[in-house]
Amino acid sequence: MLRMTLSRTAQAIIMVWAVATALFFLLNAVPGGPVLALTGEFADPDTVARIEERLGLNRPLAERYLSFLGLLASGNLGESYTYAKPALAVTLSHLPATLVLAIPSILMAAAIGLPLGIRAARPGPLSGVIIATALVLFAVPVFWLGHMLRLAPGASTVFPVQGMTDPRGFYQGAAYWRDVSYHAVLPVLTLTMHQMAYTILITRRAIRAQWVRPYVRTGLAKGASVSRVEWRHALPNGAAPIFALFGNRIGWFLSGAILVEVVYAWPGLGQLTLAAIQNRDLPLVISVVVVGVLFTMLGNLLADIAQTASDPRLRSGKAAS
Amino acid sequence: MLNIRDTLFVATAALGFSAAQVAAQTTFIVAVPSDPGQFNPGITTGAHVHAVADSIFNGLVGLDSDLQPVPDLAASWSVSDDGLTYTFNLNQAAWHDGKPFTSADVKFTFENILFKYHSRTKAGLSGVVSAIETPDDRTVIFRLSSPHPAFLRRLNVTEAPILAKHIYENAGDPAEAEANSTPIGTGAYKFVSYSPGDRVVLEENTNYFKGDVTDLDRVVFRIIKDRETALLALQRGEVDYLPRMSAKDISRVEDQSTILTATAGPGGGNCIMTVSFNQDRELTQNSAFRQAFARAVDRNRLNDQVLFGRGKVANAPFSSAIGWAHDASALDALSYDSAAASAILAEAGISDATIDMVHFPNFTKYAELMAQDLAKVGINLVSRPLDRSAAIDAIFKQRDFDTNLISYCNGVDPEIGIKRMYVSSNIAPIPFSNASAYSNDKIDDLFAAAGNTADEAARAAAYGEIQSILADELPYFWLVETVRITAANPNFSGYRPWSGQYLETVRAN
Repeated sequence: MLRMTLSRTAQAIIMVWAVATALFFLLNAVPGGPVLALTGEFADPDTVARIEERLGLNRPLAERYLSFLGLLASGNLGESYTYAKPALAVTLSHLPATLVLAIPSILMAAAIGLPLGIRAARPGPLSGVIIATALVLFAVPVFWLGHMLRLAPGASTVFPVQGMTDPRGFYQGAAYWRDVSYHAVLPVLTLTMHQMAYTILITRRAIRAQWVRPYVRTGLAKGASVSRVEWRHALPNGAAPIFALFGNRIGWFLSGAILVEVVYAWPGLGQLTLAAIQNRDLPLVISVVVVGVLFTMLGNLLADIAQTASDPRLRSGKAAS
Repeated sequence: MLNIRDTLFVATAALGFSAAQVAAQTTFIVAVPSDPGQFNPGITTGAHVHAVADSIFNGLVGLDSDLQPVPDLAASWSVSDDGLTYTFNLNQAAWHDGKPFTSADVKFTFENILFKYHSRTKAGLSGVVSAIETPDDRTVIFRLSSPHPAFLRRLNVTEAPILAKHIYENAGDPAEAEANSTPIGTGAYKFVSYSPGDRVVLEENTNYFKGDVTDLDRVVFRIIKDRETALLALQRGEVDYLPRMSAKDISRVEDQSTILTATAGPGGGNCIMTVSFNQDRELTQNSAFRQAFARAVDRNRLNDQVLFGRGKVANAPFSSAIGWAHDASALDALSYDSAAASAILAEAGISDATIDMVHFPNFTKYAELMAQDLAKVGINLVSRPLDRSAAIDAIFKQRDFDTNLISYCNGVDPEIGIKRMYVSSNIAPIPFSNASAYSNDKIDDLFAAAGNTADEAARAAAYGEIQSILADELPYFWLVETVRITAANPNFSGYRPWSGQYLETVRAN
């Protein structure tokens, strides 16, 4: 356990360093700079120079990279140019709104996608329908799905088309959360549909792979019901890719849900990321990505732990790959 | 199905979150496309800050719908005969924290903030104002080193917002001051809260020096980046005011909104879509080529198909909104005529020319239509859409373009937004400077002369001469004058879309 903790931590550190370094150089190579977003038009060279000096942009790239590394080592990702506040704090303040979308979507996608995926592994016309639907939902760009959803006749008259709360409301406590839930319906539905489609496809494939194994036939032969064989035998044996899927998708929800957040003007990491890129707010972009990387790694870790717990062969530690 | 909404309403009302809870308060919601980040309008010309902050502050003077100066913090003013001394009598106003507004605030703001940090006012006025005197709390005198005819029009809240001396005096660098996130102004609305990426909340200033001018109790600026989302929110009544929208979307909202058009607005106005020809590239240096380009482009079609007829084909290098300086016949000789364009190219020996055009992605439609027109005369126009920062970098820093397309906002006086495009001293890596790198001593002299006299007739004559030289030499080509289109909740009136203080006088109908 200690070895695993140490190796995971070392992995995380290397990963964050590598990602932050790559981003640092990439973002500095992108044309355009943050000054215009701060001064507006008509800035004279003096003003530009003063701002570049204040932000440290006038120093050589190598020197800036070294001081950036120093900051990174101390867990500080610098100050956002746009907000003049620590970039990490700005990022974390947008995280809860994103989690409000991500967590229910992941849970609902699992709750609906898993049984449908298992069902779709059986032969028959119903499976065909499930697979076709999942393929379509998966193939449709998620922002378009979100937009179509709110144009649907029922949805568009009942649910708000944007935002996380009603600006006319000023709710507190439980009323606030009811308002948030009401606003979250359409974006959560969008993310759920996309993730559910993915879950169905992966689950179906994992279970299909088990169907051909002899133990399944044995189970059926001894009189177990099909669903017992599916749930009790095939699912635990075929769970590895499903766990991995959910582990990986946590990162997607934080960064990939950008599009859904932008469509719904949801004040989470998505809108923040887009603004940070447009404004060339380098510390903020790096901060958002580093947080995304950490969450992805955390998701993978949780997936590994869950998988170990569910699979006796892994639990003993003897069957390590 | 019919009853879902009603059921939900009853259910939600039972749960205690019905709208009735706050019905006593009028909350007005504005959709803004980008996050202001901070609220000090004195340190930036950025429209994202001014679209919000201008409602919290005032200038010395305001502008009416014809862009003529009207009182704001200054109740009245007088100008000396030589045009060198402006004396303002100030209103008895108070800051949102209760402290009185005085002439010391005006002097402090100009000398310590605007002349140092507000790039447009710094460039335009810091060299002109030689002294600011405050004989008493209610009087401020500006002494100019030379007459500056645009002076009054540069004192509105967008160009010269007045900030509180007691807030910024000991706050260190105003660009980093803590006070920028909790602004204290004199305006019709007071700052309440800011959730980055989400909203800014203001409330009515019940102690406003102009009295009870608005029926709005609260104004919420919602940050909605996606234009389609903002439109839908307006259609659904989730938003009351969309400050800028595209002409093609008018038909979708006109039966439920008041459509307002204005040539100006917070952050600049009187804009002309303008093609710059790079004077450092061989082909675009050739004046015959530029002539042919101009004759080959059907600008009426641009107005019809991009602006849906809401704009106006530019008939001069200067905006028609600056009527006294505008020469309405300057571009008469450059009417659309493909055959004439082909003839000019043939005579100049130019065939199969390929040029690029750098522009922001939202101008793609213009580039596409021009490419179609130019193809007819054998010019291959390659559109290069780049995001805002990258386009500015390519045009003004790298100078990597044959032509580009920029919305040059002329402002309310040629001194503000026009001169910068043509004078040779402004060929610099500055955004929205002289993009063509056009240099002509005669033009430099005429702009200097026109900016140095208060005599409007003499100025108009100089500007007229400038426009005929420009039409002749074509360092740029002026396509269409655009308008700002605003959609607003029809249950209210008194909107002032041309001004930064667009919600100052909103009343319920």
